[in-house]
Amino acid sequence: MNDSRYNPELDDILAECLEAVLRGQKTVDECLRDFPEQAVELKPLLQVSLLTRRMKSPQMSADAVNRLESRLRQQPPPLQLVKPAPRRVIPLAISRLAAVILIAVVISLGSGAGLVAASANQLPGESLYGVKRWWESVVLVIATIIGRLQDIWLQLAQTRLGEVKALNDAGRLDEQSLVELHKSLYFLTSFPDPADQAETLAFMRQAQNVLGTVRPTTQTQAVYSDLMMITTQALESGVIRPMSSELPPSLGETLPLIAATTTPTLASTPSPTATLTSSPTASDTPPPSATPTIRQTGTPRVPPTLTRTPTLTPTPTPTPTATVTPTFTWTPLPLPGTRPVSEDLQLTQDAQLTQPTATPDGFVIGDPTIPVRDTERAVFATQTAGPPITATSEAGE
Amino acid sequence: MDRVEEQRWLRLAQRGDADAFARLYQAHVQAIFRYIYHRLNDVQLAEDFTGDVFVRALKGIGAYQDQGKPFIAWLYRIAHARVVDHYRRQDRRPEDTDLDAEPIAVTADMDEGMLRRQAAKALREGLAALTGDQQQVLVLRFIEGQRIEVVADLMGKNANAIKQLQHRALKALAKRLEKAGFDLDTLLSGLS
Repeated sequence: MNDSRYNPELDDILAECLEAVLRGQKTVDECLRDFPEQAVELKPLLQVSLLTRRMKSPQMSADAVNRLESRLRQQPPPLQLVKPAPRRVIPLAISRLAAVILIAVVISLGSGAGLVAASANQLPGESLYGVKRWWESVVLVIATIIGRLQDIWLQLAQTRLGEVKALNDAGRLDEQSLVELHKSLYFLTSFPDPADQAETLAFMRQAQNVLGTVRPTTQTQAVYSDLMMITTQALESGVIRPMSSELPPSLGETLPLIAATTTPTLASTPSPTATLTSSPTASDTPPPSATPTIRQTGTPRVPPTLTRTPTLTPTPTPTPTATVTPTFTWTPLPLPGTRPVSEDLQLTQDAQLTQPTATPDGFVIGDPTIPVRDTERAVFATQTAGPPITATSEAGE
Repeated sequence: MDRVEEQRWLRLAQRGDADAFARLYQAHVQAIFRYIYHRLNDVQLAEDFTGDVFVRALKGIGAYQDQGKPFIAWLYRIAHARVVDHYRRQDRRPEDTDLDAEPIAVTADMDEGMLRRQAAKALREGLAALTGDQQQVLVLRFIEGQRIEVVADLMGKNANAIKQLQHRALKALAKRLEKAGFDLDTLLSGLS
């Protein structure tokens, strides 16, 4: 085998034979019969490819997996570029009615814009909290019109969760704040769009983490337990299902709906606002005397508001900024042995996988024609042709 | 993990969701470990470098841009860069290894099991001695089971270049085994 020149035709023949042999469509001998002139050169190449295919591959040891976990836990959370997501931009082609409402709202806020901004970080019980909730109700109306309700409810749920956390940290968490959180979860889970299940599950996880820091009192215990049950069920099942009631089960029908304040003023005693009922109405006379309501359809969006939620939300100024999320937590990873057998192990299912502590040697005994794994093929098959992978600094190239 | 699910976990991981990154890690850690192991023929190094790959991936995931390729393609590139960096620090290149260096020769008193073990050892050493590109092609094609088009995509080369690389790599390995006196027919028939 002293041929030092590489024949492109032989490259193609070898590639064709390899594909057939590795897929089990042909044996080595059948390929050699198909290409008798190249048989002498082809044979050892095909044989070596089969031997290489059967080389045993070790797995990472449990110790190594644990060490890697520790290293990853010690890493700071990844820097994120916070930029306005495209889908949060209100499209120019909105309906005439929506445009009228928007204009009316802008005019009405002309003298109160400072109040809205100042209320962004308000908590229940603080002076401008009513303004904050009023603004949320206005946004809900607009979001209903432009069809972005689902995104709005995720933001609102995060806002309510942030308020719960802040109140808990300040030692003044009350039952009503937990009830409000429950309501936001109710509406959030009313949109079981499969595409957003992961985000809602992530929020459920976040909520459970926050609730885990709460020490319920006699007053808050019942609603607290309801919330823990809801989040636990969602996380355990991995599926978001609509909740049965807007109110926590422990409260049933006896708790009166929270009335909305009608006039956000600096002197008013803050109380929960924006009662959510089933029929959407909109008022073009600010401040709204009617209670803004929403219909549980469509997908709203919340304009960026400053909140105390621990999750990153777009700032009112649509300027990309790099921030570090404070919600980085790490959960222990399962050891390799507890995972189901993956496709990459099926290739050597007839062989005993050696542990890295022992020198892996030998080959896989069994069917010489091990089929090409479908996993990555299925993954890659969904891809469209694109530019080559951009070398990043992390790739070190 | 299919592509849609992977994109979902990627979005969450980019927002700092540790569990989402954990899922990506679980899905790909063994593949990256195997890839590095077969390129270096060293288990300890492969474990350490696999850790380096995922630490680097975690640090850079915020800036990662999904360009229509699977996430593992990016991980392979990071792993490849880590292996190349290792060779650079060792002040050597894979092709500097003398392929003509004498592998363990076959002797008449070797039983079938020992024969296979020695052949596997010769193969591993031969693989580790190939050029970086040849190693990548062989590991991705024959150990990870990827198709030529996929490997070409991952390596940023065209299919013809991959065919040529795999031809040269297989030829180098076959030469190594032949030189050591291994009979490929006997080896393969013993594995049936």
